[in-house]
Amino acid sequence: MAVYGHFAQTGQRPTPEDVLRRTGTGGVESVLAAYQALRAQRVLVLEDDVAAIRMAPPFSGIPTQHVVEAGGVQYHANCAWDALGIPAALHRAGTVRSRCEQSGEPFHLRVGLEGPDASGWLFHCLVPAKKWWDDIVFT
Amino acid sequence: MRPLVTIDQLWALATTWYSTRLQENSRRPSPSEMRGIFAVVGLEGDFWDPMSDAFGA
Repeated sequence: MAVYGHFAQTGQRPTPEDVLRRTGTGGVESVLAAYQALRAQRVLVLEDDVAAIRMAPPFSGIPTQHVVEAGGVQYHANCAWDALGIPAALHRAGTVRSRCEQSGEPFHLRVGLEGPDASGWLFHCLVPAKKWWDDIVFT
Repeated sequence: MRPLVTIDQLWALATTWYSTRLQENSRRPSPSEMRGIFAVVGLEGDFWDPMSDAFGA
């Protein structure tokens, strides 16, 4: 909750110290242990140092081409699916800006509380579902 | 057939996956739940089956 709350409020990934300030209990070691448990549940993806958060889906811990603005906060998503997932998680209207990976054409979509504006854009999923977590960053 | 997803389908997946993500004890759908979710949205076949061996173990 502390990790996701930080992402939701700031659009940025929290440091372990940020998480500690939110939870108010334990130490950095306990935060890192919790990260491992969340990683095992596939709700957190860590950098190689296992202390920095690469993904807390739908939020990205690093800048990406998928930029979502909602409630005056700018977020980065991991993919097109997650770009719609951010307004869905926040229960807030927003806008998604990205681009087509095939043509480079800019993508702009308004997303309301009941869903996105009508659009003919298509999401092309490259990796079969069983393989998604073999390399979730590539997926 | 290319695994293409419309924006309406993608919104259905996004809300199913993430609408409770900021709540305590939120979790990802299990593989069997994923099968059902994809079927409801109209995404079927081995590509969308998280338990399929069609693309290797």
